[in-house]
Amino acid sequence: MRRDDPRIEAWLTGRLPPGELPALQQALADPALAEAVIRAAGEQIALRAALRGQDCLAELPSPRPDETGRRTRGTRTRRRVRRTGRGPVWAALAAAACLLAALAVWQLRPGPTPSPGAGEEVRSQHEPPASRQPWRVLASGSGVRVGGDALAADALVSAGSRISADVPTQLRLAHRTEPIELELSGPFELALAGPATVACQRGTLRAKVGPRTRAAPFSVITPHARCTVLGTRFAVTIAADATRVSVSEGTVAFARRDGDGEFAAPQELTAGMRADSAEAPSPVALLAYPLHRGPGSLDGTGRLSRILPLTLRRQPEWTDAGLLLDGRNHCVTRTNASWPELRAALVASRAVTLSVKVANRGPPSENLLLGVLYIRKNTEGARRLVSVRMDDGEPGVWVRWSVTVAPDGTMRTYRDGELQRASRIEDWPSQPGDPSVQLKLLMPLGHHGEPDEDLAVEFADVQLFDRVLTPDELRRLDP
Amino acid sequence: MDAGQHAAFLTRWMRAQSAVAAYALSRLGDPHAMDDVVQEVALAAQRYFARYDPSRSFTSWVLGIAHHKIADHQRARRPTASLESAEAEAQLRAASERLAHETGERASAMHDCIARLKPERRELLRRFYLDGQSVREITDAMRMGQSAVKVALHRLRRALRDCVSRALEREGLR
Repeated sequence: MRRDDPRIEAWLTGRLPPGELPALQQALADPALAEAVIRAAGEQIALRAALRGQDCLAELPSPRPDETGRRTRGTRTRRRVRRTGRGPVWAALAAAACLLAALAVWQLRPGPTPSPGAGEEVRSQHEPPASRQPWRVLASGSGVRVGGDALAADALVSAGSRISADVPTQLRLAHRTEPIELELSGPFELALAGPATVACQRGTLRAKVGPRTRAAPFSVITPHARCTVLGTRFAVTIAADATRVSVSEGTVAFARRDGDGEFAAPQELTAGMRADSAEAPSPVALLAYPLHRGPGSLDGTGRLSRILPLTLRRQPEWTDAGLLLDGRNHCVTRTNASWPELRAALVASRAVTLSVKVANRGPPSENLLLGVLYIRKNTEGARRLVSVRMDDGEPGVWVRWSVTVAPDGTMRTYRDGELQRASRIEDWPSQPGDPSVQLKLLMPLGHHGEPDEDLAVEFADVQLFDRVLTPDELRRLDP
Repeated sequence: MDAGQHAAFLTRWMRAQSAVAAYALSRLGDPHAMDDVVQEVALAAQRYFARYDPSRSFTSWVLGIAHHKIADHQRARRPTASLESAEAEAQLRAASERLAHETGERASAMHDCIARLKPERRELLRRFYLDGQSVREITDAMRMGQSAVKVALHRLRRALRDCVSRALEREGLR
């Protein structure tokens, strides 16, 4: 295969017939051809990024100012931040920071600017290219500033700029090459993170966006949510504790941030619909056991006898590795060879919530084991036990116990939605998907997981989620 | 990660991201899957940047993360076609690392070359490379003949390649 073989570009643009793949794979044993493929791939990447007006190929969260302290102050810091209604502080949002870095790198780049190829017309040389200053000010009220300077009408604004106003005023911006118009009102703070992304910390933003492709949507990121649009008119209002969106035309995908700042699955809003980041929809469990309350749920050997079959709430797919619940990293094994089979083994990803209702039916029991996080690296294993003492509750009273593990390894235990304790798991996988790491969330029951004939407990409504539920969401699991 | 570490990470990431993307695209042969993998690599690299050993190559470190992310993606997406031969993987990874600087510079140069194209030329490229439209679809949408579309794409590719190559030559990379 030659280095300019058209099959290389066909492969890189997703147009190669499957039958041609083996020949390409075989040819790649040649280092020179591998270089040619990487060069061609680099061209494709550069072309796609330039067409999108992207400097940064990924969206990255900026550091949280309280992150260092959070490790030592634990959950108290988090809770204090939430009470102020500001949520996790995303001071310089995702792509804004990324673009600033990109511009810094750009400034360091030596050499003259390349000229276009022969036969291609050159656009106006009198203004800086739109790739560097993609926004034009249509109208600017008093008090609107960028980098400390007043912003006047007709000014060009660079990607990565932060525009703010501390007094009630208005600003209208238009993109120079894309059909996007923005109107800001009230005291506001806006970061032009890129041609297709803006980050708004406060104020009201009205946007009119022309048709866009799914590969390059327009996004508005706020401290509480993200709106992604393909062409529509909508308004976003950012208050201290919530972001509200109303859609006038078209469709907006509205994704709330959870307590850890991660975006949840988006909710689709169409014309006439509104959404508020503070009113999260009910979470959907990855799996749930049918509600069952009755004696015999736990038999004399410490095994759940009626917990099967599973009721799966997402379309599952069996693979060699277990039960695949989605395309990312969540799966559930059918059995776990290293534990008794009825200790229904649940293999989870880096963020998980396990919730179950428990009622004591016998004498007080010690250390009913609700969950075990079992982390194994190569041949060395480590267990984290989540034990729930059943001797402090009224017999026959149903209590909901929940355990959450955040992607950063913070594990919290809740009783009826109230935080009981929190700790950190230092061995949390350093690289998700690392094949040397096995991470399992198990549900052994009984005294330290061993059969306990004195144990008489009922279980109900076992649910597993692939994210960290907030205390409010945990409370809402019980209508 | 404090602001200083974040800045250090971003500086390195901006230099390495194109190499990661090129490696992912060469392995997956699917630009949309590549976007997903690059996003996941960036987030993982940022999260675990404290564990990065500065005495090692950052590009090599993030390519290692990319290797795992691609494996995850392939496991989840089977039976989608992808390059899975160990030898091909090794050659592509090594080439990505060797050409990392050039790949990054190519991306920077391309921004200027694209910005100087007429809007309708950019539209043609956008339809073919971003939207994945076929020549026939572009023909219908832009009211051009099929051969005119093919010729225009060919000339644009050549012009852009020449424009980028000249920029790289000026910087001693080609």
